[in-house]
Amino acid sequence: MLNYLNAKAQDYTIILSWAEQELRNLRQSRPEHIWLIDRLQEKIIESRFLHQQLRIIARIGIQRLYPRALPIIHDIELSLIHLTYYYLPALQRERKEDLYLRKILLQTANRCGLYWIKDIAVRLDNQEAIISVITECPVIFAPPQRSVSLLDIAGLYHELGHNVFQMFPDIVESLANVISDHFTNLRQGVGLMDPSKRAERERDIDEAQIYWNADRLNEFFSDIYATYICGPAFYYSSVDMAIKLISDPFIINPIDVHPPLAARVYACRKAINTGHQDEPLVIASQTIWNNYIRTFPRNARFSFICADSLLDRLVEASIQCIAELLNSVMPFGEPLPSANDLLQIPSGVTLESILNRAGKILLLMPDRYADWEKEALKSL
Amino acid sequence: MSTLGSISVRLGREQQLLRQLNSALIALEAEALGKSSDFGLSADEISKSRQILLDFIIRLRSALDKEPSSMDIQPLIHRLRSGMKPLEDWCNDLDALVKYLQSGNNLQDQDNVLPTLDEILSLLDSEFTEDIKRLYTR
Repeated sequence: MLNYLNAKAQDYTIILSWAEQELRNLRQSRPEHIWLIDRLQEKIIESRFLHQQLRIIARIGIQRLYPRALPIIHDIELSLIHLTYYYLPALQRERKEDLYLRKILLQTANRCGLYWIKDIAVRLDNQEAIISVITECPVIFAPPQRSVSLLDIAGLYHELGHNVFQMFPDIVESLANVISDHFTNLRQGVGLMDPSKRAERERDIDEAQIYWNADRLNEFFSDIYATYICGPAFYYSSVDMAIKLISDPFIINPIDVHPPLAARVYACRKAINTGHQDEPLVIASQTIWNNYIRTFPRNARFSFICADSLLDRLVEASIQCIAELLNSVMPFGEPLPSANDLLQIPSGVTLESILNRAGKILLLMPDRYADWEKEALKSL
Repeated sequence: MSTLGSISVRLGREQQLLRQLNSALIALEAEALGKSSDFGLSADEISKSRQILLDFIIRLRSALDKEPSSMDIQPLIHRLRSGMKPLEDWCNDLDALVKYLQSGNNLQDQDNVLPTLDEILSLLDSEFTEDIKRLYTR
């Protein structure tokens, strides 16, 4: 073991020095990211401190301290993964298309309540995702076509939702309380029951409660945040995602950190602002969805784990968290123009407004979409 | 649908907790071994480390008794409940640990509490590394 600890200590001496040199180079070549580079440097200083602990354990050579070395190694490894897989490549390979989307996302983040965001690094080389190791400076991934097309861009609001969830640990606790209350009520409401059936029901409740772990609550909240901020456009986007993924939307997959698609679409519909209940984009999206899920049977396990009453309360609690924690942000409530005015692009239009118009044009007059989108992109 | 957003949030919180507890245990062990100066630890830092471990163990012990508990320790609670060691034994060991940490004795005086701390940190580290593997295995 001691040989290994010495080897790792040497290993990290080289890697951490290399990483610091890379950051020094970026200071020269990417001055617009200086705030982010400073935070990355702080992360390296944290790793340097851990590295020093590791070196001391190796130098002292007392076996009793060896178990303390492994968590240090794992900690440094994760920090290096974050730095070398995500942040450094995002900054080193940044292209004009990435910078274009970065500009739009920075404006969007600041407008949509993420007042703490100082910088965003964009990588247009993967599916939509976010990594917020530095909460104020996330890396956001998206496919390359996002710089030239509005289609699917609403999905990025979900990624911003993850950043909000990371910023406020109270959110997970609020949602966990909803889960706990719901299943506690179920336990208490059983009444007289055969002991074996009671035990079975207790197991079902335990399973359901464990299912709603922090990751799934994070995914759920991010959907609600996106619907709250982006409105019907995100609801349509969730319907689109659920249909194109071609799977049973009621399946409870214990490995997937995402709740079932049927639960997600239901929750997004619930989160739509009251002013948009009769909006044609909402009604058209809901009709498409209702026709689609008709072919899938709703299984009992789904109905138990993702009961409507539970999802309703999670939506309410999520919206309450958004309203309390992001108190300057308003839900998307802009009335969408009707057919004749829909193709007009007002000056100073927001991304949310553009995306809602885009969704409506796509569903109601798809032939006009391509030309309209070119003009819309110029306005951003 | 990427898992990166939610799992990276969890990994970040696990990393923070594990780092804090591991550093605190290093401080107590270093003191017990007479190696505090090697790690550059002051008496005040060692005292703070003892308090960090005490606060965590009290929170963990309380979570074993009642629900709901804070979401950040739910995976650990789940591991304790589903492991080979009976829950009652865990409760007894944690009670002993709280007494020891409150007493201010160093680890040489109370070596029987060390395995409990080791076990808990090992479980946290296992959870952490499994999550790293889920995202990053080659």
